[in-house]
Amino acid sequence: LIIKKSDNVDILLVCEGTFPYIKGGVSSWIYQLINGLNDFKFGVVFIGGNPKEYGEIKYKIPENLIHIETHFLFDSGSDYKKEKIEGNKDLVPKMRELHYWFRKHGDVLNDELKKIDFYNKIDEKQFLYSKKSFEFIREEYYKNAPDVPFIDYFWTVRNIHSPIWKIVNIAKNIVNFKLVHSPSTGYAGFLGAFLKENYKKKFILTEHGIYLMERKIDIMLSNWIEEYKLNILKSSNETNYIKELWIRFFQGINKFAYETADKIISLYNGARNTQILLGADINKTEVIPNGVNIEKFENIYKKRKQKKEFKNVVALVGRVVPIKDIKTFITAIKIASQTINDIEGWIIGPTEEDKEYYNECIEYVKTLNAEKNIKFFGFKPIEEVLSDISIITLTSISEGMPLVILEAFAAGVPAVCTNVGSCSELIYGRMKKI
Amino acid sequence: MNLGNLYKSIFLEVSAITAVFLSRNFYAVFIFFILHSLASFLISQIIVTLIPKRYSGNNIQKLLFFTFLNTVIIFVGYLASLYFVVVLLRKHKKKIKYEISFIEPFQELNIIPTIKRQLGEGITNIDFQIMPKEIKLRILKTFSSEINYFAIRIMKNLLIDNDSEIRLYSFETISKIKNDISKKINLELEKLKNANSAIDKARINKTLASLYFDMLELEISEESLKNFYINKTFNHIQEAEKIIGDGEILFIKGKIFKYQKDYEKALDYFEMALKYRFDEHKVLPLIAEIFFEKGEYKKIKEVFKRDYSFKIDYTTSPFYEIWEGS
Repeated sequence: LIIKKSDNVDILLVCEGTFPYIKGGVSSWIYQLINGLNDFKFGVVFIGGNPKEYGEIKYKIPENLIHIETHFLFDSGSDYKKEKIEGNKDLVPKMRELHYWFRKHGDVLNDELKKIDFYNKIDEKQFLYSKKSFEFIREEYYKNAPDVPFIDYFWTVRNIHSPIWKIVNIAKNIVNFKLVHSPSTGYAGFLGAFLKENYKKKFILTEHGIYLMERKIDIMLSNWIEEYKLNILKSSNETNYIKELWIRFFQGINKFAYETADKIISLYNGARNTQILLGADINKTEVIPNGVNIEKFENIYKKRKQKKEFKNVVALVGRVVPIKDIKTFITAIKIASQTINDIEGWIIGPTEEDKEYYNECIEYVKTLNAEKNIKFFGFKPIEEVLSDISIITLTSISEGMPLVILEAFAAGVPAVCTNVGSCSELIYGRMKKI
Repeated sequence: MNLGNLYKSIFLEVSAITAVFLSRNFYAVFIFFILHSLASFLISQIIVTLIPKRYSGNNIQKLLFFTFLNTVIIFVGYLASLYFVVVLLRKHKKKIKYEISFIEPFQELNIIPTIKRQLGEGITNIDFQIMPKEIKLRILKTFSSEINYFAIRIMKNLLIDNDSEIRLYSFETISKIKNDISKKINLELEKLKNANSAIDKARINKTLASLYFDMLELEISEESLKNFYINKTFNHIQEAEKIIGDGEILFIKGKIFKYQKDYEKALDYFEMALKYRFDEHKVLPLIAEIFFEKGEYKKIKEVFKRDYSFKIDYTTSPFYEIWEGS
């Protein structure tokens, strides 16, 4: 889907699951970046998982954003007519090479695999429907994961490989650009790196959280990857092969993005150190902290200074998603309500992104009998909230440099946060630690 | 076999038959039975020695049985006794024909997986600060599918780990368990809203009490919310008690008092639960635990004696053996 099209883009942003379809930290950061750099013309390539997970565009499109295209990696079905294909005889060794690169995490991607030409020779249709490809998958299955049901192995291999062709297709048809910037590793980082390799343009990689680590946790705890062996029957270093395959895949594309990027930016020192540990070249890394427009919050600041008393309202401004750990916030408010009877916990942020998690939070509120104290407001501009609350909180389990804390400070609102990302630096300064 | 007895019995039988044939009167018949009985007794002694060893037992009884049999069933009794001892008692001993095929031992061994040990017993006393990350991850993988307070306690230790991956993994695992309980609670609350009969409501309240107590028992409740969970458990159990009274309610009550370290009350409720025929296997270990907490170690042994299954159940037998000193 192409919403705006222009062939004259200065900075091409590759956004995975964020701007312009999701409101929140990284999306706001991208929006501010585009608005703040009026002299440059921006393009956005949005990469999402499934179209059902995203609704309408959530932002007013800035003037200098002249190109937006949307792609879904796990869209249902493919456009190919399903037919029996024998398969190119060169397919198997090439596929083996690509597949082995995914499996051997941390390996450098072979030069040939970085080029669009490679994927022209071995196209997606050959991979999805050819007999040779099926035989290859079957052979690898018997070799590596005979205790996993074949159907699971088959679809895992397909789901791991098939987005690569989608990304290559995006790269083939990309608009003219001068620089590509990806605000995360993962699929976005892979596309950024791929564009750099094929069009010889500069590639900047910015990480707000650490994508690889978050994916690893997701995969390790996932329910959609079934365990077929009892833990007690596994050897000491044995893991679920399917989980391992996904983790290695993300490690592989993470490494590719780090190796290819001209600049690797993080928001604080801790994140930079983690990037280096994960294989980023120290000389390419740089810390650029977030910033906010203080003037925007000046009036709120003055208003709050004149106000003598505030309601017992604690706010959490953020998306209702597991990484924000809304449940810890609910627990904290419940505990506080045992001594401050009229305390209110306001959860201000979109609830549509992970409806299941939102429902879990509602259930948890009921479990704790905390319906009187907890309120979900959905998305609201932060300026509308900051004048009425006593404290702002963040209970996230992973953060970069949260903008809401900076904005709250600009408005004179004290903050209580979990010690993640740069939260301790923001609250105590760099010299002191929690 | 005592051949002397055999000859004697043949002689006695021949004498008995001769006596009957020579003078066919009452005295001759009397002498016949005397001699025949003696012969039967001697033959029975031989027959008893032919009984297979696995039928060992009281030989006098066996001797009397065969003597009676042989005396009553004249002559045919000998054949019947011999058939019984030699054929019938040995019948199942017939050799079963096996077809033994040749097995390649190494070929067979290849298909048996070698399973290395996951974690040693020392896991309980580990200093997590010095443990390599790989082992911590292995612990988390092993315990993520376990729901017991011991696993949760270990995961809680890892919540303060320096490595964020370890921290997140343990945190997510605990959250998942908590979430599952919360989901069940909500499901029951929903059922409670729609329940019509008093008995249904009572049963749901009992389940809710048990679920709220799980939060405490599994040690996933925050310290500051412990009283909240205790009160919730009590409230639901009291609601259930208005309608039904069973061993499970008493058992849950006992568990709450045990949790609050009110051991005397806990013991009373556990004993009452047992009187209501609630599962001994669930109650007795908790009674044993209370005696352990109180330092009354002799009573622990007595508790174990109350349920034989302690000895044979693989989960409790190690404790049984320790306390029995075997």
